[in-house]
Amino acid sequence: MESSEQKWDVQFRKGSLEMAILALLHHKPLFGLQILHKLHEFESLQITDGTLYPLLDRLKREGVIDSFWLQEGEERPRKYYRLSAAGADKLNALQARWQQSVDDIYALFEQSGLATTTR
Amino acid sequence: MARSELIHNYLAELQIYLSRVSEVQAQEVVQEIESHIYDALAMQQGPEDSAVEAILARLGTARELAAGYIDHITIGVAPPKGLKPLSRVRKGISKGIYHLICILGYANGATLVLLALLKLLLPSSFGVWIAEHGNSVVIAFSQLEPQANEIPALWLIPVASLSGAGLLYLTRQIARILKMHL
Repeated sequence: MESSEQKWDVQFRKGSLEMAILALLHHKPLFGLQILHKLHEFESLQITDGTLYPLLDRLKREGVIDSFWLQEGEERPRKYYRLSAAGADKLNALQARWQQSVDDIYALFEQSGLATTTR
Repeated sequence: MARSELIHNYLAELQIYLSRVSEVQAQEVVQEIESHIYDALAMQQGPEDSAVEAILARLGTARELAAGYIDHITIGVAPPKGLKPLSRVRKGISKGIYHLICILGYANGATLVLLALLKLLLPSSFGVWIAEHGNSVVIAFSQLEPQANEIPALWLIPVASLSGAGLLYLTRQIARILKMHL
């Protein structure tokens, strides 16, 4: 039962994690550890360090984010990620789609007589 | 183990496991992970050695981390550089063997068939001799071995032509099979 639940969770998070990362970078460029800490603020978005970096690499290869190295003062250089133009478009599309699907699911819950918490 | 040694070993291992991606890409991944480890370490509280271990544990083993990158990098990518010369060497070897078999097979087969034809066309001047007091058998034109004893050799025609044709056929079959695998 546990493994089945985990499988659902993995499926559920797959798309939402990528969208969350794009949304995080919408505001300003961040480096890996900052992204990780931001994600850890949300219960359903927590991932391990070892999952984040390959995921960032994949998003970069897909062209939705860019990266650059930046050294601030005496600190060691860090690899920052920022949203690309394609990524901004992608984020807009994803956000609209997400909103639509949340609305649909809530409507379906209500039709089925399931209690919905306040949004 | 000292903290820097732990980190160094982890990064060295990561570099090895990333050997399937280009060196530049692997180098950048290693640098980023190194930067992550030291940043995380700076924010961590508690004894340093256990902190390093905790940070490395969250990254997973070097092998697992590398696999995370390789899984999406190598999809649809050509095989790594090292494989190309290897297959070229193998191809070179089998090509050499192919040519050798062709030359030996066709040359010997053709010689045998030619021998049968010569005996058929020039039965008197071409034949089999026993030379050196029975120690060797010579097949030649009569002028070459004047002292040797000629033995009647009409059997040379079917034997040479059949074995020659057999050898030519066999060579062709082997060559065809080899060519398919080249």
